[in-house]
Amino acid sequence: MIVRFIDWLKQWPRTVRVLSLVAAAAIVIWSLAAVDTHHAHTWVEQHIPGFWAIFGFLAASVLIFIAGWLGKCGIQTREDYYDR
Amino acid sequence: MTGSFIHPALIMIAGALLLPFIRGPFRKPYLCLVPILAFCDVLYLNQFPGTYGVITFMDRWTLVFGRIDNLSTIFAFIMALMAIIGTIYGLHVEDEWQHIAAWFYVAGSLGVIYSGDYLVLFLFWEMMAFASTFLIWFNTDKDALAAGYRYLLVHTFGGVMLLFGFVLRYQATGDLSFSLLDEHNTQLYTWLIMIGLMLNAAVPPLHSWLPDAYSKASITGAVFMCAFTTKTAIYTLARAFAGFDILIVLGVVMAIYGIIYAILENDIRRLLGWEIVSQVGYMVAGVGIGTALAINGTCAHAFAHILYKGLLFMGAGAIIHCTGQSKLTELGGLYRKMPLTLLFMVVGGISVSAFPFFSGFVSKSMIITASFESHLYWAAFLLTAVSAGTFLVAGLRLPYLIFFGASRCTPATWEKAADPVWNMRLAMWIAAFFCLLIGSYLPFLYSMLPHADVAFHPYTIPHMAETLQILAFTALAFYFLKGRLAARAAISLDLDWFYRMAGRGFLWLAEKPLQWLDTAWGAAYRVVGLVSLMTIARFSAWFDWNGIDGVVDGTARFVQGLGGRISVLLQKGQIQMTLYYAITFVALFLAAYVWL
Amino acid sequence: MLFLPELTILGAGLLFFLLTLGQPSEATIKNCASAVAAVILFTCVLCVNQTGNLFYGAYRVDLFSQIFKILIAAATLVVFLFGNGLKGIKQDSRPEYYLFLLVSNLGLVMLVSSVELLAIFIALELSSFAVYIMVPMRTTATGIFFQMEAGIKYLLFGVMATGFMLFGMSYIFGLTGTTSLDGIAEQLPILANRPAAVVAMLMILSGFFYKLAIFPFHFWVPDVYEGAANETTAFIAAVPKMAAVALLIRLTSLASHQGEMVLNLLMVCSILSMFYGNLSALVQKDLKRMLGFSGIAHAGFILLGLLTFKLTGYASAVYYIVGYALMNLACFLVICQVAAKGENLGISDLSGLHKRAPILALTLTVALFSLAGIPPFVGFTGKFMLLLGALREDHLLLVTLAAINTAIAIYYYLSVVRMTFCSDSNGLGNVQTGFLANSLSLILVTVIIVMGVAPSWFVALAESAIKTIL
Repeated sequence: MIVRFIDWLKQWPRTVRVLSLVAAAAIVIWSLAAVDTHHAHTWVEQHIPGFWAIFGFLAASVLIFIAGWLGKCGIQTREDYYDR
Repeated sequence: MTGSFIHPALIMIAGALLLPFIRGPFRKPYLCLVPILAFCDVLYLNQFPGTYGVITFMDRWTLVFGRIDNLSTIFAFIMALMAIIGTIYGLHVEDEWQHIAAWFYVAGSLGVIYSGDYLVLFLFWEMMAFASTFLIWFNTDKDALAAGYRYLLVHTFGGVMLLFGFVLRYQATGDLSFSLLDEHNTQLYTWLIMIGLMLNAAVPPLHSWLPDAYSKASITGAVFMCAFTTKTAIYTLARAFAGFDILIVLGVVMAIYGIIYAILENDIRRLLGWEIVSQVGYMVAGVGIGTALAINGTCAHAFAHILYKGLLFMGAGAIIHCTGQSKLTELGGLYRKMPLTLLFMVVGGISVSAFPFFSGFVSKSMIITASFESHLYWAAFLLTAVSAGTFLVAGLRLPYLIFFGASRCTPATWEKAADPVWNMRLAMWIAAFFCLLIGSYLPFLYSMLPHADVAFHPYTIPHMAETLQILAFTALAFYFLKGRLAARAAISLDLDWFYRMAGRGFLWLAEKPLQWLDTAWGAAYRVVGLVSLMTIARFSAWFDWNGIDGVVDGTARFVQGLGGRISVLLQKGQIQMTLYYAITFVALFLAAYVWL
Repeated sequence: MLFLPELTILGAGLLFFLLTLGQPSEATIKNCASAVAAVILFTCVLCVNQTGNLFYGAYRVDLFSQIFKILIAAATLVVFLFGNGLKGIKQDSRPEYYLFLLVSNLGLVMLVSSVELLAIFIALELSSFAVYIMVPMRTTATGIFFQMEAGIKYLLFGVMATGFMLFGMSYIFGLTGTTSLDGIAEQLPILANRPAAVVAMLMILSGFFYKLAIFPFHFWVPDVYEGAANETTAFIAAVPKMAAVALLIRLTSLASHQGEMVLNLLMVCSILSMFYGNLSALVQKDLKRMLGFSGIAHAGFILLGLLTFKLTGYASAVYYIVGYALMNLACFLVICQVAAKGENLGISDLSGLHKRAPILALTLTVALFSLAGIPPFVGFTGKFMLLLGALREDHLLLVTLAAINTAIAIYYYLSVVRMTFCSDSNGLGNVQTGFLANSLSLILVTVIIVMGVAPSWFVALAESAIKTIL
């Protein structure tokens, strides 16, 4: 059942992509329109619209880039490093 | 109830000791029965808070085996529950020693949780360390042996630190009870105890053992290990170090550190291990914040974490068990072959990523809210950022690289891959059920939390909006950057580099100079001792042959001759002459004595 | 009655002397040996409450000596029982072997009662010489030929240590004019600051350092452990060490007035023993050799109790050495059973032991865990008490180094345990174990656990015994 569902999704890659983007947009619009942020803990949450969306995107990207950069700096190495 | 205190650890140990005698068709029911009994015992004990099992040891020390209060009950509950799930997961394992080691490990954890003083704590602490070492060694991979030794090295170090800490504390205060330490009056022993406990919680820089060991342990062993060591350590930290500010910093560092390494990782169990480091970072930070809400959050997160991380490790174990591969570079596209495993991994992944209605959502947010309420905004924002990273790694990268995308499997791996045996599936069903239960039915978890007076409501609209935004846009970032997250056949150097190299140096030291000294001593001994002895022997033989005999013969002849001459000279039979000689000798002696 | 245990041993020795004259069957020798050892233990227990002086005050029977006699007799009984077949000893010299073992036993039993320097010397030599002879009695059938070398080494080192000891004794005699320990105890505080007295005391101690294998008198250990037959090694590893600790307690209680100098020297010896033993043991492949090196380390640990010069420290040392003897006996029991022909065992020969002989594997595991100082076994409790006692005397550095050593030691012990549980048997066959060996190993395991969990009874007994000599 699970396999069939995934295969069915895979037949419509474009639609899935568009639907996902629409869902993300809907979430942002919903939080802009309907969520009361006046009782939030910090100034940024109260005054920047869609703050957490920006935050999530930036956090993920920054983590990915930091990890990639650290990996290139020499943290990542060949697999048999300890075996020599 | 005092009379009927039966320690659940005792049930596990007794069960383990009897296990070799239970064979054939009784084995599997028995394997299920023992942890269930221990679980029932825990349920029963948790109804009667108090102090039990107090024993006076050597007339000097009071040992407390059963301290049942609002903090220990929740931890004992989840540990006992996880013991059932883990045992079911390993039901197919024939080798009874693996079960015995695992049960001793569980017993150690339960013992630590119920212990009321440092001696009992240490007893069970060491039991955990050694039993879990064997869980690594039961893996037959070639690396497992070395990994077990490294694990042992680190935990022995931690144990020694802990021992030192509480002995020094006992020396200073005469107190062995395991209780909250004073943050404003820290001594050397405070830090030593903290190091000992933090090592088991894998707080950087004492964390490298975790991904190293958990990726090398046997499949069922890893399922047990991922639940018990770190979370038991969190319990002890919450008990002794609640409100220590340094733990907030360490916890946040830990959360970030773990997630960055998890992004780079190629081995699936190492990746999950790094994520444990990251998630335990939340709990360490929660302990450091130390408010009622934060402690509640720590306990709730530990509870939820054991279940979803257990589920993820079971899924990873199933993949390794069924494909023989543990590297992302050797997997991919497996959803066709292992759909159920995919389902469980996704449930685990979205639980850890704090999707609404799954367990992480109701526990993780408690710690973050606690840090907002304590005005620790930097900690709160960084922890939120890490939760985005968690979703990135466990919710997106891991399932994507194992189950979707291009298949990097060899034909043999592909052929082998299938959903695992029934008992593994059953264990995963149970864990997945609890992940959903915790997230959807709040009273189940929240009624067990230590500070019942603090209310927390996760399902508010701003909170939902916040979470959904973060998740959606993390997914978006993943979509754009997934090329950067691809699996690479590489390992990441970590602080274990130091002790791996130091271990080599140390062994070299033990082997070369000391062995050399010993050999040299033996050689010197042989040369100076035995050779000289033999030389002397040979010489004396020669001497005996050529010298002594000649001398003896000669002497004999000489003495004979001398005797003859003396007797001729002295013993002529003339009495006046003999008397004269005798008196002369006596006079000579007397003169000699007077003179000297 | 005071001398009954000694007379019994002497009589037993005579019995075996008579046996050596005839051509007794294997079974006769075995049964005689076990029966005799049991009788000796019985008489020792019978005489436990005796007190009195013999031989013009040179020989004292008190609770201290009697308890050690029981311990020695019990350990000997265990060695006799599990070394039942004497597989490692030349067939034609087995009665003689028992004869010498009993003579050595007699020496040890007399040693713990001796309170006069010459009596101590004679008893020590009596016990040593018999063991020197026992070492080369190993059979050459297993292809091991260095037992002669081991015997000679043992002898030469013994001679050296004895020389030192005699020299020290003569100094003490010269300084105090008496050879009885009581007389010396009266005189020594007056002489406390004389370097000669310090040197003399240390020289006397060196004789027992040799028995206990403390740095720098330990060099014989690995070779003798490896070269001697498994049964002989079991005896050497367990029994004389108990007597040595008894005498060291008697002597260090005399030396306690001499303050810093002796203390520092004991500390240095203790630390060096621990490090030398543990570091060397890490790299050993031969099981007995490893146990030998670990024995050096444990001897260093025992010094930790002695150098407190306190009642509790001494009691902990007694507790520890008894525990150590038990653990070692358990290890050697396993070695003797697994080595079917009396050969030496490498650590790899234990692979898959949990399948080949589960009870032996369990025994070995418990013994090694205990040696490693893992709770709740006797080794942990002993180490804990020793460390706490030393800490109470503010020897923080010493305790730190000792704790580091405990950590090092865990490695090589656990690597043996790993070998027995986590490896396949590699085609090694099952180990035949008799009912006797099985029940004996279970008894040892039980005692190791019980003593570890409930040490207070034994420690109280040791304390009351030591009180009689302080």
